[in-house]
Amino acid sequence: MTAFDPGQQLRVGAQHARWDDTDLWIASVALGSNLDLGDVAAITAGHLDPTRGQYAVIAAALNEHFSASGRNHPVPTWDGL
Amino acid sequence: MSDTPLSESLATLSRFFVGDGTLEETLTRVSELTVDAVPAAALVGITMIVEGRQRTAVFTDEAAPEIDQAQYDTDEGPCLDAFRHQQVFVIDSTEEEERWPAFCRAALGHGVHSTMSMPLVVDKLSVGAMNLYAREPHAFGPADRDTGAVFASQAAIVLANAQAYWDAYSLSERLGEAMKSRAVIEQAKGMLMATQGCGEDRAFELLVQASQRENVKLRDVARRIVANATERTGPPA
Repeated sequence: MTAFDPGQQLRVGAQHARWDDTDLWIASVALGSNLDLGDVAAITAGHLDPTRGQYAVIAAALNEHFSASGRNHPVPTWDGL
Repeated sequence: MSDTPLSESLATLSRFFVGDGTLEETLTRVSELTVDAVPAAALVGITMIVEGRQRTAVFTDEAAPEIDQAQYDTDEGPCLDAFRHQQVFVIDSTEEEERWPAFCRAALGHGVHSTMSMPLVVDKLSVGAMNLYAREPHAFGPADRDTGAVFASQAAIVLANAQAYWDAYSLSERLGEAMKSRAVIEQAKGMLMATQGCGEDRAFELLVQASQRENVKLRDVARRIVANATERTGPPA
């Protein structure tokens, strides 16, 4: 059984997307995130655990990117973690 | 101030406004001014890190990137060492030089017989390296080295400012685009909160679910919700 670690999912997603923190932050802002760049950097560095809402918007940003290249929403929803 | 090539080039450099041209135009102008400041240099190239890899970002002659490619292929050369060690490296004769053999062969192949590589350093950080190439051996004497070092220190600041300016410009453009799609998503969330009696996070999850179910972008789902609601309610009386 794997540990519940939503930040890890976002880190792996960002690595696969080859996005840096700024890319992830801008894509999240476009979907309504109120996080600042420092928060996103802290989440991807594992220093801050995202809330359910924060996770949802960052995961959605990544999935939008992946689905544009034909990959079917690989970042799980919060309930699917 | 005397009107030596160095002082003229420095004066021109000091009047630079980096927003007047693209980053590439600024770099090209800096490399052209370098040739003016150090007349022994026949051609100039500037090595920078672009998308994580070293490359000759700008040059005054097509030969410069071709010579530099030998450095990038072997990961050895005076420009790379100037960049890495923040020191000036001079080759008095590419025919006799024993360091960096692949680079020297490439230089000779293009009729370059001496070189001077200077680091571009701002706040102790390397931002690039400036590579000067001459057709004659022993072209760069002590005076050229001093002139080159002074010019490179000023050029580094211009390059760093240009890089910072265009990074900030690019960021603001991207955020501007992001704000456009954000507005309609916020509107759709508000409508879902009102119609479904849910909170903001749940409204966003409903948008995500619809997006994944229909395999359409989230902003397109949001646009449809807003458009449908506008159709139903019509304009205000």
